[in-house]
Amino acid sequence: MSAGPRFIITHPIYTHARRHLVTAACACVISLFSVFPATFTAHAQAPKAAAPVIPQIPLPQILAEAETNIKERRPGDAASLLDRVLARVAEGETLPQGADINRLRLTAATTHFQSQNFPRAIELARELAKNREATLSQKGEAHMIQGLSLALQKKYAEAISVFRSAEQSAAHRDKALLYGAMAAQQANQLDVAADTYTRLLSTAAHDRDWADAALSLISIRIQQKKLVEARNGLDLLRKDLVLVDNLAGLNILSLQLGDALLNAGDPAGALIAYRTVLDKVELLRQQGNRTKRLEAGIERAKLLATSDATTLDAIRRAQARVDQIKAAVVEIEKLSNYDATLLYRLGTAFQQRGGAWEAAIVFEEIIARYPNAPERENAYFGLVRAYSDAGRLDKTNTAAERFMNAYPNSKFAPQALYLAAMAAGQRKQLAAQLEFLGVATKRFSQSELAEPMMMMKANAQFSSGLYADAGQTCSEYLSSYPTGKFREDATYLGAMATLADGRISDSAKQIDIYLKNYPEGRFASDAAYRLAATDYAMQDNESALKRTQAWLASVDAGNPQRGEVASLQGDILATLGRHEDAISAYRSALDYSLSDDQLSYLLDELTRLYQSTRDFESAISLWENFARERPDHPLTITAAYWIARLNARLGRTDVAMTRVSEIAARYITEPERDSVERLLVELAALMARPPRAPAGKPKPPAPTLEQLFARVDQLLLSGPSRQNPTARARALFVQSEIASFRKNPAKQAEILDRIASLYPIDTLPPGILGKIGDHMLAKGESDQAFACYNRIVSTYPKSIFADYGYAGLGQLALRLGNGEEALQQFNNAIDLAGARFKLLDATLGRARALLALNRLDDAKDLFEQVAGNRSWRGEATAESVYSIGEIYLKRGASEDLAQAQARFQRVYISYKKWDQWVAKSYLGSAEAFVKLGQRPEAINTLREMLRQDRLATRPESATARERLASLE
Amino acid sequence: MKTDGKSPAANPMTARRSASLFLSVSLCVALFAPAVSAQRYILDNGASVPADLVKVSGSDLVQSLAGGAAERRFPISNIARLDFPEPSELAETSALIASGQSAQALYKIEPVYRRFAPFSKTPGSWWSEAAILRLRALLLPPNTKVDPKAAEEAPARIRAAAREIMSISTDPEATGEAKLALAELDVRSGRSEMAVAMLNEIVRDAPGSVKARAWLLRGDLAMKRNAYEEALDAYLRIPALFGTLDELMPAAILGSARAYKGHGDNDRAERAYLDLLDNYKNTPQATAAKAESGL
Repeated sequence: MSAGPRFIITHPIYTHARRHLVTAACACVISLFSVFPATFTAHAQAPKAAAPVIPQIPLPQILAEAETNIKERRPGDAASLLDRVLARVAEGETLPQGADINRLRLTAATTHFQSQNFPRAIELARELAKNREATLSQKGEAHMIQGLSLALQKKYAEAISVFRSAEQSAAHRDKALLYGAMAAQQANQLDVAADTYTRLLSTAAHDRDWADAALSLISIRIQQKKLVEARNGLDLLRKDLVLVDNLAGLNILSLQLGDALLNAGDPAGALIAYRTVLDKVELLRQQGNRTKRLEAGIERAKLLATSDATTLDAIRRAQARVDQIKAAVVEIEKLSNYDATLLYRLGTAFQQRGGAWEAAIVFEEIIARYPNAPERENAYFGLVRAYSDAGRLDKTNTAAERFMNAYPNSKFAPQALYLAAMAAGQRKQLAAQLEFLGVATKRFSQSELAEPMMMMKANAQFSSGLYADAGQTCSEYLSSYPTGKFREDATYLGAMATLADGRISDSAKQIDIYLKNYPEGRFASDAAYRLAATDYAMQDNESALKRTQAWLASVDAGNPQRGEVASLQGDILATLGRHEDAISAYRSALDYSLSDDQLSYLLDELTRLYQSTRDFESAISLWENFARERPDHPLTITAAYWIARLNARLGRTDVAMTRVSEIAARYITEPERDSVERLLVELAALMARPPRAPAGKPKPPAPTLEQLFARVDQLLLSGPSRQNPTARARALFVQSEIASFRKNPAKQAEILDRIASLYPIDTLPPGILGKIGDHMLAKGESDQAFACYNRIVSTYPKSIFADYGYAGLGQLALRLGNGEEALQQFNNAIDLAGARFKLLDATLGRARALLALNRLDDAKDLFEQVAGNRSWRGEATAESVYSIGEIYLKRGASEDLAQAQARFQRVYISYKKWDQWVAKSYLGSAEAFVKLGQRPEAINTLREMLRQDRLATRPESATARERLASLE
Repeated sequence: MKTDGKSPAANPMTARRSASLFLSVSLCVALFAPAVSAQRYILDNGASVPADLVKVSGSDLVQSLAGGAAERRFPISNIARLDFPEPSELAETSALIASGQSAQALYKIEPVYRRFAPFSKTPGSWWSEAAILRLRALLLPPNTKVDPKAAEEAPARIRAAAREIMSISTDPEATGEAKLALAELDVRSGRSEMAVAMLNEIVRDAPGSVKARAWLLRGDLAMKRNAYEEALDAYLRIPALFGTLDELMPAAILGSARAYKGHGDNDRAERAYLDLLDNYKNTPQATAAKAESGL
């Protein structure tokens, strides 16, 4: 670096010192002038003192000479003159009136400093600092001169304490702290330097010097390996990035800190550091702007500058700084890989911190923007990991495929395939999983991952139902890895594959082999249970029974399979016709932990056995106990169903209703308990059913709706729930369902309107919101419908009724002509909510959205799917067949028109019940005839349509009349 | 994590070489105080005219001479560039916008916007910056107590301001901001597809900060469709790729928290909410996070 032609600046503190001292000198000179002029003139014109014996130059003249020397930048000459003055004063001579001895001393010290006579400058400054009559500011100035003189003699350690003394002067505090910190840094007293910078940063004004000091502090902290403090420093600086002139330096320091933090296992800190770094284009752009700003400032200063040495010196130093920034920028410009490297670091830090989504974005960016960067291969691998970590399994699979295509021989490929296979397995995409594993085990058989991947493959084959293949893979494993880590697993999985493949006898032999090889193995108890199962499958019930008895007697009480084995024992006993024992075995199984499926099976078997023995009370008691003991279990709804059904069978309809309503009432005030609505629908069905005639008596009249509604309130609204809006809305909901069962849609609509008007949306459970949303949609009140649907998806996205929300939003989007949004919402209804209730609506909605987006082939596939589904037969079929016709009509080739014609005719012949589609189909049919050039047939079709009274009021009839008029 | 056997520090761009470069730079502490200020017009012949000596009159700068007895005119078309320091109102307006004070921000920025309007295309002019801030202030929820017609007239005002920038400014950041404002108007009026088309253009071409804002808006649009994965990909671009844009971070993180929630990833949603509560305490987004998360 060249600092300019007139100064050779080799030490940073020197630049500060010069600047500071020149300022100080100017200040002193100004103060001399400010005191002297009047008195000095008076003395010069009329000296009062008598002539001395030895003539001496009067002090005022010496001072005037010193002043001239200072003005003409001859500090050495000024210094010796001022020394003479001070010596004569020390000998007893008095200073001219108004002159201040301490200011004189300060000026003398300054001029000695400027002329680089540091020992004399120190001597004078030290004396002044000790002088009790000196002001605090003068003492501060003296300390500064002393400290800087020491520093310029490289006596940094001594300078530190002097600068600390200078801190006492408020006017000098910030500069004293800055120089003190720099001196400490030079003296390699990093703790002192850091402490001093910290004190400076906490009190000094936030300006560019402050920002530079912050950078120095971060640099020291990194040197000290105090990364937390360095990170905090960077955090602080991030809030004032605009003050940083040297962005290039900041970037490099941030990278350095980020790397150190990442290596120290602090990815969150590393992220803070890396996120301060700008990409190359942005760095160069911003640094360019800041450099221009600096340069413009220099230009302005040059224009305004007098011959003032302070300004000129400042300009030279600022220019030197600009030159250094430019040099740093040139260095960065040379780094062709700058951005890719930065992004890779970012991605890695995100990944380590658990930010898988962000990591994926970053790695995708590297792959897309830097096709030739060395980081790209790593980025691909990172991408597969990131998608896998985020649980985005489809993306994981796609990324793995992209990786394999881009870098078929990458050393990371086996790991990527392994991750992709695991992700696919979690997603139950077994075919994809097997594909990845197939490629991996074939192409990377020497990889250390080949062994676990072969086992994963066997498991995937097993899960895919490819039992023979799974058995084969297990055999391959056992022969390929004689000392493999997974031999026990392979042996047992092979036996289970054989069992699942239906080769029960072979399986039993394999299980025996397993038990011989691994009598205390991880699967030993399961193996003993499976042997009982194989016996039972081979109808060796006695042996099976003994094995279950032995198992239950020998295996510890906490074994999680006890319930399952007891259940098997129940099966065996039931097969043996020992119903009481079977019931006893099943009931004992209930005492152990069981999966929901197993529990459901057991309860169903017990209910079946009780019914076969006509012991309805025990069956009722079974479900009653279950509902009481496990009130939150999903099977509680089933319990309510059986309780109601069995009681009804015993002619106790009232009891049935009471018990169902009791269970429902437990949760009636909780809108998030969405399964309550399913129970309420059951209750409504029970209540709406016409009463049975008692034996030998006439059938009693069916209760009126009002009577039933009163009963609903009685059953569901008691105690505090009576005033609860959710409970009241639910009671009304039951009434609306009863009206529906009683075929009274007007009443149902009226009740739904009441719910909507009486209860705030946030009190309604998702099931009711869905019903009201649909009701409002049908009424054309889109805003209210939107509010309901939106509430469902935003507040209850995991509800069993969530599909109401998504499908409803899709319908609304369709009405607004927004096909993309509609498609997304219908997809959500199926993919996110599982479309438990709205599969037809969602599928039909997707088809409509695709048609609106003119994606004809996709739309046609879905309409065909709907039209071909027998369980959806009805208006959806009519609409789908019509829409397929419309798609053919849009295509417009002659064979398409024939196909369209066939579809339209099918609608108005086979689906007469659906006026809307019949009318539209007539119009479509006529249009197809016109396009085929068959005008008379078109006219006939339209006349036929207009002859039908039921279509007369439809808007399509007006269209038909217009078209007919134009054709005739 | 070491995926390739190399730490990031092993990269050529790294630490030691760079550190020495930096240290030499950083130790040369800035001594140049930018307090020296001047405002002047630089003419195309290289001459400079101090701003305090002239006034703008029509298409000229007019210097009064001899106590008003005579005047000297400098056609504005002859001005090669402006040499004005950054007006303090720019930073002040930014702060007002960040705190959502629309009317106050407009009050602060209008004089600067008008003052530089005659020099809107002249290098060194601060018009573009002022026009962008004015546009951002207009986009804020209007203060109808201060300006009763603000809400009603907001779309027209925003559209006019955006179009003015697009027709005058050559600064890609300014034109990008203007396009972004038009896209936001489309969103507000329910024309999502038009907004998406505009946003696609912005994320392809615009400079960094505008691009980041466009991603935010794309996230909002995706959220409206409950397209949570798409929303996450949009919102998380801000922390992932625009990490220095702290002012956009709270909105991006709140958006991501909501999208995670919609996507069913409650753990990540909670982490995002916590991030807001810990690191962006005094923002409206932190308040929303507290209410939504119950944390």
